[in-house]
Amino acid sequence: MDNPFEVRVPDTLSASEVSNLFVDVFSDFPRLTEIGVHTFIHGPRGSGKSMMFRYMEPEVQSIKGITLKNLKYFAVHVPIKSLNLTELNRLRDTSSSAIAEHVLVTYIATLILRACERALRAQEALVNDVERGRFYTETFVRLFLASGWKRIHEHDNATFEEMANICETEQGKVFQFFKRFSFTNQIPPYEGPLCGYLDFLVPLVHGIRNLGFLASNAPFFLLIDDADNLNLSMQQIINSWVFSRTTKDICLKISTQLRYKTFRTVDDQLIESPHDYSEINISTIYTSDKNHYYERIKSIVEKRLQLIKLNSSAEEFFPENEEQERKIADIAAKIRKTHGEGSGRAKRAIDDVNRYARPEYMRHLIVGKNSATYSYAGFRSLVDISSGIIRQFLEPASQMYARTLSRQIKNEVPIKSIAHQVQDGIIKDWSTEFFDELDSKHAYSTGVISIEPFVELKNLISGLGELFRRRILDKDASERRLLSIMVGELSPNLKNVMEIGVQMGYFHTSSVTDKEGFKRKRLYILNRRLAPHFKLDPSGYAAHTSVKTADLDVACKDPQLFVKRRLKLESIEEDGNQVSLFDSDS
Amino acid sequence: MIEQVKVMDIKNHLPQSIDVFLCSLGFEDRSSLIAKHLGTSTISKLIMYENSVPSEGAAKVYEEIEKAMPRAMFQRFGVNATSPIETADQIVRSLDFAFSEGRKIEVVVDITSLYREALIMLLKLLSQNKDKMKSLTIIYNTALNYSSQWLSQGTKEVRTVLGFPGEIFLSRPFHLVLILGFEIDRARAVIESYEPNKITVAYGSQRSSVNQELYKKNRDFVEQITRNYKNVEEIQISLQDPFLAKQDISEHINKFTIAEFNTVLLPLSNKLTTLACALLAMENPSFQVCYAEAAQYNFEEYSQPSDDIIIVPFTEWLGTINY
Repeated sequence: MDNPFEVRVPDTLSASEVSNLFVDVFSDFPRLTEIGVHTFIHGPRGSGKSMMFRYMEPEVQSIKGITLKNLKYFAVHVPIKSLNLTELNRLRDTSSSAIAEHVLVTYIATLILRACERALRAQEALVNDVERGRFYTETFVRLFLASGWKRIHEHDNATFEEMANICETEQGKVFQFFKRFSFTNQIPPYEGPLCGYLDFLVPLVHGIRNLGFLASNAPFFLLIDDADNLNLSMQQIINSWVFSRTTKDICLKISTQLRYKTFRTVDDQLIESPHDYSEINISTIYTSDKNHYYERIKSIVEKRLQLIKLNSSAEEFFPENEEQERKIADIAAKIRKTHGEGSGRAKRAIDDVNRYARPEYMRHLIVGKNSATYSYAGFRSLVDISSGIIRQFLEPASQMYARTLSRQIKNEVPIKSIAHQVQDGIIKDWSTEFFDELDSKHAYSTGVISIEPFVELKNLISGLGELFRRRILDKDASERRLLSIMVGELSPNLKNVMEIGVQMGYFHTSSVTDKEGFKRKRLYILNRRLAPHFKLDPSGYAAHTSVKTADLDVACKDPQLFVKRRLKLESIEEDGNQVSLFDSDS
Repeated sequence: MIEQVKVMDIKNHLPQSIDVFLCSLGFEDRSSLIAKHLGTSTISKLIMYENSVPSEGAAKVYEEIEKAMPRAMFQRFGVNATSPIETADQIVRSLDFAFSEGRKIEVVVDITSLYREALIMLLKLLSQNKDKMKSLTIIYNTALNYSSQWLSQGTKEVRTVLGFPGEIFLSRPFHLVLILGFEIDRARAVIESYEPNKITVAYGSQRSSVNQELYKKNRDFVEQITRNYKNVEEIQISLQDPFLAKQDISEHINKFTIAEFNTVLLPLSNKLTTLACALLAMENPSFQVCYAEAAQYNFEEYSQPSDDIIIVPFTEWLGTINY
């Protein structure tokens, strides 16, 4: 029995698999499908960028009944796998840039031509032989010859597949060239063609658009996926393309995992939003509108359950721990009663219930020396813990399904729900694994060359996690469900540590206006995936506390000291004002 | 024929007179073990590859080697894992020094502590100088044990090994052949970088593993990969014989239509299997070899030396190369 929550790399899915699995989320990101605009879309690994890109492809659209003539755009998925060729480091600046651009352009041209071939075949559409022959000789061959191609061509026509093969062969020849100077600084002259974006790719696409099988105003979308994988000089090349504003023919839709190294072009110009491109940050959208994200995940889960012929709702399939919820409901009732008697804290009873019911239950577990631990089971809880990243829901769900299946005596019996004990076991390990990964995170993915910032980041997160935990258990605290910190100006070292934390997915950021209402300050919100590890409440609004830079410095070096001082500090503070550990802010 | 001998007997199994002995100054005792036991052999030239980021351990190793081989002509060449171009150029210079006398010579290479990327480049460059060697022998001190905590942490960069860019067609899917050792971070970094359509995990048998705890971590990692990637296969290979290991991997790869995939080799196991990857890539120029540079090594307790030396004659192999 297949696992309905199996996470597969989008590149490896067929068009029909993409069509079956995908839930339409484009209304959340309208700029992504906007014509006439280049767009950067940022999001951590697993946030759904590649799936969106795959869904935009014509083959998938055709399964949905959209013909080529009705496409608003013709999307070509350009996955960027590692292109870090060491030989490129031997080349001096300009030649390196021209050759690197040639590699990118011929790669993309290959994908464009093959996409056209597939799309035409899938829809049984045709390009008139004469038209195609004219395109081949007057556009394709002409452009190649102009770029320095020395091949003598015998034919006056070719299929899109044959043209793609030509591009691919030329791209492959560059690797042969590299091998000639692997172990020498004597670089032989490069004698092959050099195809550029403006002099080859754009006119090629313009020529394809003139063939008439697409709507006359439909541009090409080049969906450049995981552009972080490009080295610095190739990213500068892409930025130069963005700068050149070719959106009538080509719109660039570029995804990153927040590790993009530069927004400068080859000529050192800066590309800027919104003049040159629009920008989307998936995390910000999904973490600021939790109900929306909840509905998205619910649709995804229920669609996947339907694929295995199960008509359960997501909430039924991932049930809560009923006993725990009953006890929390009892506490909620007491809180409402107290509020009704005039001893509530918030204006509305529901606000007191939301703020205090769960923390109070957590406190009861400790105070009553209860052997039970807090359960994170339940669909809503799992959605909250996934912190706006779809894969962070699907991966533990997949493990839960696999574990349930392995425990079944008879495998043929369909699984109707995942027991709360299984949910808890998996989600707690999943949370701890995320924290423990800090011991071994890829320094390469942030460009950092020292291990020290990772040690400091781990200390910082330990300190904050412990502090937030203590706050949950503090029955006198007015806001017990802390999950974020508000900070002012950070020192360069701290800025580096926090940026690594954001890039690695341990924090996401937002901004709030300070109490005086003048300045906007940065908010760092802990990834809720860490909630089970630190025994925090992942639900609801991520309340914040202000922390001074000097305090964060202490946390980076000594998390226990940070917590001790902070708790002592909180026990003597007045009027909710946060006082620094030190006399002045440093 | 490959031999396994005790380190105290090593002299009796190598040429009586060694024209050039190449070794690497690493940060651990395994670096100097062989050199110390070869001390009174006749070695004319000693070439040491030294990590440009010095460590205390390396300085101690250098003193031990110098003391053991007072009569040899020493030449040190800096290698730097953060600069593969510099490393390649230094290896080229070292071989110019080695072959400067213009006659065919006996060459012995202790690969124990040479980092993998440098080792692969060295083998390629030695093969390009095949006509200058009477014999080529590669020797390796096996590890008694590896640290069960960690060997390396984090990955600074994933890149191709110089000289092995392969013949990559970017529109084709990737087949990653991962020779898995105990450094899972680096394997994960490469997998995330390439997002291959197909993964082959090659490893030694549980019986031949020197650390059962680390072997278990490997198995957990392979299960994790299998959860996220549908097309994962596992093969067992020899950890002792690079030619046999090469054959094991080659037989597996040949089951698929090579032209359908870009084949990328990622050696992350011992140096003998790293040689296997280099041999395979030299026979198949379309294969790319990649390297994941570690961010940090466990200098304190990486591994412990055994007293076993594997001796691999490469002379016959040199005769099969056609350039």
